[in-house]
Amino acid sequence: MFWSVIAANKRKTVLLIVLMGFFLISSGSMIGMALADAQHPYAAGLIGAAAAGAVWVVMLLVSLFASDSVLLGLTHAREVTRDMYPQLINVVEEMVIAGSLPHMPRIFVVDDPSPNAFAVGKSPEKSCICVTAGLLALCDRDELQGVVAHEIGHIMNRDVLYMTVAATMLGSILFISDMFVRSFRYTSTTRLASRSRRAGGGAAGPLLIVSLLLAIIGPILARVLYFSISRRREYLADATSARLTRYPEGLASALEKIGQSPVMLSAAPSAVAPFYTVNPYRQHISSGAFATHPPLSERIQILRAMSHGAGYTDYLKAYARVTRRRRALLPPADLTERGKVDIRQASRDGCSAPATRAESLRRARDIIRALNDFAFITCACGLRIKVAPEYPKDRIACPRCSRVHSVQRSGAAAVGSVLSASSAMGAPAAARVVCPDQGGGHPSERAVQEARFVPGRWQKIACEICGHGYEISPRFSGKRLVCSGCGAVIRFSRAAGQGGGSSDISA
Amino acid sequence: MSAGTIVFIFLAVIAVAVLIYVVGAYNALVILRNQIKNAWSQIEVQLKRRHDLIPNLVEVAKGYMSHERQTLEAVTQARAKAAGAKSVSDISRAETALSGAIGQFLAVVENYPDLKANQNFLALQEELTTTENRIAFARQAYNDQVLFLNNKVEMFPSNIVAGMFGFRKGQFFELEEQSERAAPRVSFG
Amino acid sequence: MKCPQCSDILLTLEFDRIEIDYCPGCRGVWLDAGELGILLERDGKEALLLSAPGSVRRKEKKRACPICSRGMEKVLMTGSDVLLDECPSHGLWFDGGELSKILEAECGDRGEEDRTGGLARLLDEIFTPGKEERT
Repeated sequence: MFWSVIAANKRKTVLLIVLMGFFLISSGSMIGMALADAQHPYAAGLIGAAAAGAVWVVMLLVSLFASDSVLLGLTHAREVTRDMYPQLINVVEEMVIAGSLPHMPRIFVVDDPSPNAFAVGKSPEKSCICVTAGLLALCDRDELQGVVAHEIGHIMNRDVLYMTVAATMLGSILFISDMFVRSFRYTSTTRLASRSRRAGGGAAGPLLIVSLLLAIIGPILARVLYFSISRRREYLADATSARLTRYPEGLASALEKIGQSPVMLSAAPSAVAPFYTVNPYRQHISSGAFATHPPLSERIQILRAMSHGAGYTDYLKAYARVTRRRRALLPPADLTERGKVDIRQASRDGCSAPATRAESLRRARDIIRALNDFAFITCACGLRIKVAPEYPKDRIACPRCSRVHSVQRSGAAAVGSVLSASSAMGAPAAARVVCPDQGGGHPSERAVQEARFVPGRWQKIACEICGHGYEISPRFSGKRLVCSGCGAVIRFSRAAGQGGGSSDISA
Repeated sequence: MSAGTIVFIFLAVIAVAVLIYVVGAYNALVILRNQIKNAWSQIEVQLKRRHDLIPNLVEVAKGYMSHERQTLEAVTQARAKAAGAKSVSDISRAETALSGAIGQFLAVVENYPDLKANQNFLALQEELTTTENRIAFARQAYNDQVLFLNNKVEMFPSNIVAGMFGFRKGQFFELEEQSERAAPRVSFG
Repeated sequence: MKCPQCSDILLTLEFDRIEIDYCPGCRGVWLDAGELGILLERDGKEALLLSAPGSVRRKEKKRACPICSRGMEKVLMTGSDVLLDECPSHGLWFDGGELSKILEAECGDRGEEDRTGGLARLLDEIFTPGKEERT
């Protein structure tokens, strides 16, 4: 924990709130005056100031008391429980132990296929960590740990408080200037023209220019402020991540993967983007996805330069070596490190990271499905069946081998087992995983019906119980068929012997 | 006021100052000792968890790797030894041996894709990994505290208070020494 | 996702790292554009001669794409008279009947080299378990 950073964060937060209040109220009053009738410019200015002040207060209250729920709501994050994804919970708990945090943060998953993570919450006690499905799909255990530790670093250093407030304030500035531009566009053609004629173009002209300047410069200033400050935080959070995990390579390779990911939308904590911009896409085009973050390559390089240890001192040394910046990242008084922190070995991971992009995208989509209460069935024949929650029936016959499976709706499925199962599916040899419901109930419990089957041509039959229709391939060699509609067994009596070939139930 | 009174007041002030220091130092030492106890109990909880996990893991693995009797037995034996260890240094030694045995076992598992695809096994392996990580991170916290205590016990003047009330140096919990030396260190240049 | 034919809920099937959506009611199959891309990347272009360019005018009713619910084009599968529905941006729909025709062709003339290519092979594999998998 960096005490000076924490203190600075708190100080800056207060300063920012005051500055923003000043800025908002003054620009609000100017906008009010510029738009007002000539007779009552000051009254209009007051109204403008009051309106801006109200916006400021609301934004302040939101950013201090409801920012997490707003952000989580905006990003459609879902809270994860241990049953859903034990590995994620474990990794966070480990980092809580490593950082001696007093409280376990709440953990959320956002169903977004781009790899990303962020933290929200105004204090460590009330913090939340969000990771996207894309990140879970892309990263192995060590990499996930690196990213989680980075977010824990933000929480420990109170960056989250500052960033949340900054994001809210920025949002309010953009909101107000947007309002101004719009109302200006509306009035400039009508009222303004007549008024300046009446007033002789006196006071309104300069006022207009000033407020216009404010409206243009304000957002730029706010962004510059926000971006420039957040860089140092990222380095420090990286340092914390390396120190907590004692494995800098984890975060380094996660960052590398995130950088190479085809579906890259936003960087880790700038996922507060929905909060601070009216239109997040505009943001990305104008300033690049990683504007709030130092160049990824540099961060990776620093982490990889930490060959001698995983402590803060090692990070600072690596930072100085890689960036050649003379100014230290931290005042020396902040380094309260005792002893040397060794780099640990890579952990052996049961479920390895996906090899290809397609595979990681598939995993991301599976995680999203699991979050959305899909049921996953792995049939003994190697087919995986993913059942939407709105699927009406409780039983499903495998379309491949016609084993009947019961659909288990356990609320949110276990995301972790989905992941490991899909990684097992990667190898065709291991495709025959345990079938959860071999055959679906005891065969003797099921209704049996007889049907005639003439080999050599396609033929249609219907289940006598539920009326489900089947077309039987001429090469069908099986003796029975389990109805996918009701689970009943249809037994075939063969007209003429013609064995061999593969069985086929289709159409 | 006589000279005697002045001397008496002077001595009394000094005595009170010393007493205040002793009380403060004593309390600080007690807090530190309790913190160490707390950190140690954290470690013990995780060690216990690891001991509970291993029989399950071996049980699941048995069905798949019948040819690896030796590896499995080594793990079981190391676990039994670790569970029986009492003092910190004994536990350190036994747990290090256990870590080594588990490491070997997991290395062998790589040759059994069917086992690696087993859901039960994967869940157990994840639990084992997180437990080992927790032990490692809790150990770091514990050793930090022990270092702090030991400095107090050795350094003047707190060493006098420590000596008076019988505070002894804490023992470091070394776990990864051996395995780290045995395994090739990865370096990133 | 709903079946464009009978609006049942589609099941997603994954086999050999390819996903298809399958309608348990009419046995039709939806092949997502992304999955087609993966197949293309894996098996090469020749293996996946899917549809002749351009749509075919047929009297058959237009079906709605299960993703964007716009009307899909009718296209002919190369080398066969199987008529498919294609949403240019989202994927391909195989009717239950169409699928069985493809599979029949595949099963029928194995001597002739894969007319419909890797896709038919995959579908065949999904719906026809080989002998080793029968337990």
